[in-house]
Amino acid sequence: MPEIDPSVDDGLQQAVFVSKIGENPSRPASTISSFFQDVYRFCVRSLEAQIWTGAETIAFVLSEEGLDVDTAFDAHSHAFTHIGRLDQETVAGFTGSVVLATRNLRLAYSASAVTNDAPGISSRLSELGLGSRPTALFVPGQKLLTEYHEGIEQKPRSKTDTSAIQSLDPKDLDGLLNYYHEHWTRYPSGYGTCWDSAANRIVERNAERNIRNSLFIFLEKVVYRSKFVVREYDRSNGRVDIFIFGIVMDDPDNDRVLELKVLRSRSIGWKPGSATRTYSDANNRRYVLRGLNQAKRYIDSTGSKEAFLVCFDARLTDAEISVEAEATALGVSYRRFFMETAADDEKEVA
Amino acid sequence: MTATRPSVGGGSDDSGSDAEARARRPATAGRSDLKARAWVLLALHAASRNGLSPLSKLRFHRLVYLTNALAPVYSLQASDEQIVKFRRGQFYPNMQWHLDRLMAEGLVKIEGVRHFTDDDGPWMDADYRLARPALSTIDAILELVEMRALSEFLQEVVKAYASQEEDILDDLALADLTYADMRRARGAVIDFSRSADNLSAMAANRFAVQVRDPRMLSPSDRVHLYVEYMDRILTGARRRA
Repeated sequence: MPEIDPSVDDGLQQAVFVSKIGENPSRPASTISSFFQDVYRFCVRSLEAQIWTGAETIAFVLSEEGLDVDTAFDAHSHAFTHIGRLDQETVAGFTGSVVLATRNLRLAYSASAVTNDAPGISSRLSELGLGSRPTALFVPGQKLLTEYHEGIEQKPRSKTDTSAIQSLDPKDLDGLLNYYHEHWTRYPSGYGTCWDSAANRIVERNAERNIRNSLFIFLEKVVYRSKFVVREYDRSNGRVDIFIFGIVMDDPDNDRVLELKVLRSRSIGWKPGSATRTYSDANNRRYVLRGLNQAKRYIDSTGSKEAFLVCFDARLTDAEISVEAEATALGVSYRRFFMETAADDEKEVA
Repeated sequence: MTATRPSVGGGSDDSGSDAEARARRPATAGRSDLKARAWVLLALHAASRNGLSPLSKLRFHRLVYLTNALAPVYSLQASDEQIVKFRRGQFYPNMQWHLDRLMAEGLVKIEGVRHFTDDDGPWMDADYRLARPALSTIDAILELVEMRALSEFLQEVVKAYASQEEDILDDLALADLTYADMRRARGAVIDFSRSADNLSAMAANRFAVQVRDPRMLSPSDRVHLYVEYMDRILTGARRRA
């Protein structure tokens, strides 16, 4: 087997592995998500290079098969200007608010719109026959990137506030969990809400699975944008809810385990007039202890540096569960996040 | 090996044994011909999708070489397992023949044809791109699972190749470990059917050995790392020259 020349190897693996925000492993080239990832990277680089004045909105539109065979490009080629490569480290500015590009952004053309705002760009895309193409809308002034996988005429698939994300430290798992809870699970208006009946504090039947999925999406797609975050990681002694390879935190030898639980007082079939609680606090405490033991087992089977038991609390009252001593003895970090039933704005008024 | 004697201009000037061999081919394309043409179309498709179109003849053959060298990383078989170290670098007479056939069938466009003579003798160069009718053919090809896997692989290699600087692309494949291996002189045959001879795939897989869990490094990562590695070898050599 040939030895890799160390003089040129230096930094190569870093280039592929290190999952800093904005620079992370590539998505498969054949997928549309590789286009959105490359647009995201370009936007982060362009913000760092400060090439925008702040008033623009730019639509990045995918030329699925390449511009050579793109009928919309062919029909409106006079409207487009070649703007060179957007896939390189050095970012150059360009004019025009509609960018039609190949999926790797190597070949890109821009066209202008009458008004440089989202409605103006949307109508321009329709004029150009690009309304149903995968599009990413970037507002540099707000550091906001919105992905429309089925075209700008459809609902967006995801929104990324690049400024908020930039301020997160990928190595600070506690900070990330707090951010996740604040924006996803704390209030019923959050992205990851799991209430069946918020007023009665009853969560969905699959609340745990739903929270696991939304936390996974948050970590995998928003924070790390890396495939080295895994859900339902299969081990001989069970499945880890979320497993984070240390490599995404520049810490390859220290992986992290997240075990998730949803605490509840009432089951899905609870009706007003029946007993106040279906599950007692003692039941919930036993459930937490079970989670701590599970997390400990996963530390042992994965050789991880750290394990968190993260409990999302849907019980009737925001009361501590005393398990600190057990958690410490097992070497597991215990976190509990209480889920509010009032919207955040209502709460402020109160 | 499909041909040991490349024709000048690659298919545009058939002469000698190649031409005779082709003249003996049945009028209907066989399975291997169809597979080779699918490979050519999918490679041009990948080039178009990655902003590398039109593809010069030189880059086309070098890309075919790279895909052949790296095919084992994706557990695929090379389109053509043998190649002669030709004086003009990588060149596949058989693939050129299929490229020309596809052009005649209206699925590939040719432009910028240039005939010239240099120190290596007379030659023809040109640029190739997909014609729009090829898209429906490609759609049909991609209905086959085997071809979808091939397409994913080709797109990954082309993306890695296309991500390099423009001024290095023509020569990048010359820095390939197998091709640049000094133990093989000009005129020697490189045979990728012997895995022990494929230093390129071995080097790409070697990156996986260097991490704690090799499964963490996907075939795509290995391809990108290897192409980046070639870039660094070539850039370093140019800097020293």
